[in-house]
Amino acid sequence: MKCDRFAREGSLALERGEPLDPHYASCADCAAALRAYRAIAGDLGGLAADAAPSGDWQARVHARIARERAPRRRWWWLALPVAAAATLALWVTRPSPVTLGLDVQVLPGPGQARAETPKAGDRVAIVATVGGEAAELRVYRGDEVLLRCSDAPPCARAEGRVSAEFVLPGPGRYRTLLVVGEAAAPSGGLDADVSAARAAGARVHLSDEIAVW
Amino acid sequence: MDESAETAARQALAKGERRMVLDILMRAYGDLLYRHCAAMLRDAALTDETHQTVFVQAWRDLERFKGDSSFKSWLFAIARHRCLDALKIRRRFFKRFEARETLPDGADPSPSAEAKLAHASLGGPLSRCLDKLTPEVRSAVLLRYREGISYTEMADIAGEQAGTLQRRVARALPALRACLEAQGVASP
Ligand SMILES: [Zn+2]
Repeated sequence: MKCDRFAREGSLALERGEPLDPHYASCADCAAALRAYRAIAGDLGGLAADAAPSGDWQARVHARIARERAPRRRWWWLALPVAAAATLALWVTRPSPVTLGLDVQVLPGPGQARAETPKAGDRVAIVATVGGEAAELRVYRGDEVLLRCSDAPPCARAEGRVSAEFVLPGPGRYRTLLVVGEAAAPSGGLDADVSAARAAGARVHLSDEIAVW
Repeated sequence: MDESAETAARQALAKGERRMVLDILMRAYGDLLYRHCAAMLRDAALTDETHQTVFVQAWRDLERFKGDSSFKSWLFAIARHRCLDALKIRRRFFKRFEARETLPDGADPSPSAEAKLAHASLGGPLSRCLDKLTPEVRSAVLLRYREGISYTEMADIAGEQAGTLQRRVARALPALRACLEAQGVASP
């Protein structure tokens, strides 16, 4: 039968910084357990050693602080059940024959009450008015594309509108991007994608940020 | 601990230069806290977000910083909370949604999908075994052995008794060994 004294007592003595009694050296099972313990402790020290934040993370922190200090928009009333399709801030770079629009509403998830701030599980209903033009919807979490579609599911296209619904998967800062015209594939993150789309002659709408903590 | 950064940050704080304090702390501890969060969360996007949130909160809370701990411990305490919160929210979300088909195509919030691990050293068996520990236990194990933080300091960071944390870590490492062996990783 295997001796498990190290796991029962020795490891705690070790964590307490107490001296180990001679048993742990003379008992083969305990000696092996002690070796494994030290090896694992050493390996834990090297965990994530290659991980590093993106080069602009400090700027992002400052940008978030600057946004926080700006007067906070109360956004939740937009989630009124009636499609009071309020347009969140967007920018249009060029006039268009059709008035382009991007409506983004946060709705409580199934069986959930509406909260003061968006939370994981809430649904985001997106409706873009695009007329007859080619258009693509994307949802970004930070620089990561979580949703991308135009005519096919999860998007639906009818009567000059592209719509999609999206469930907020967890903490993050989400933005919806509408690209009208030729959309290049997403590549370098939100800012780069917006610039690339503009450079390709597309019009771009970007919704306000939805922050989930 | 980065003594010169601690001193510079204290001096800047005394002068009310909050932005300077933040910059000093981001430079001194940004990478360290990022790696800690990466090991806790194993999700690159969630790590980016949580790591930035730590410093946004630090900025908010700076006025209340009493100086009875180092900035480093104080930041680790914030990071510990934010990482545990992030894991809690994610877990709640999966409980609610994993069995449904409400997720549109392209939305893959799967917590430990290996593809989302931007960090090579987090793809191995040790990381996978750490994932099986509860977040509280994982946090204590990482603070002790990834960060090399003493139990006195850790008690401060976690707001728990040193003895509780020692017992938690002492139980966790043999559990990690058993998990590694079950995955076919031989003991040394
Ligand atoms: Zn023994």
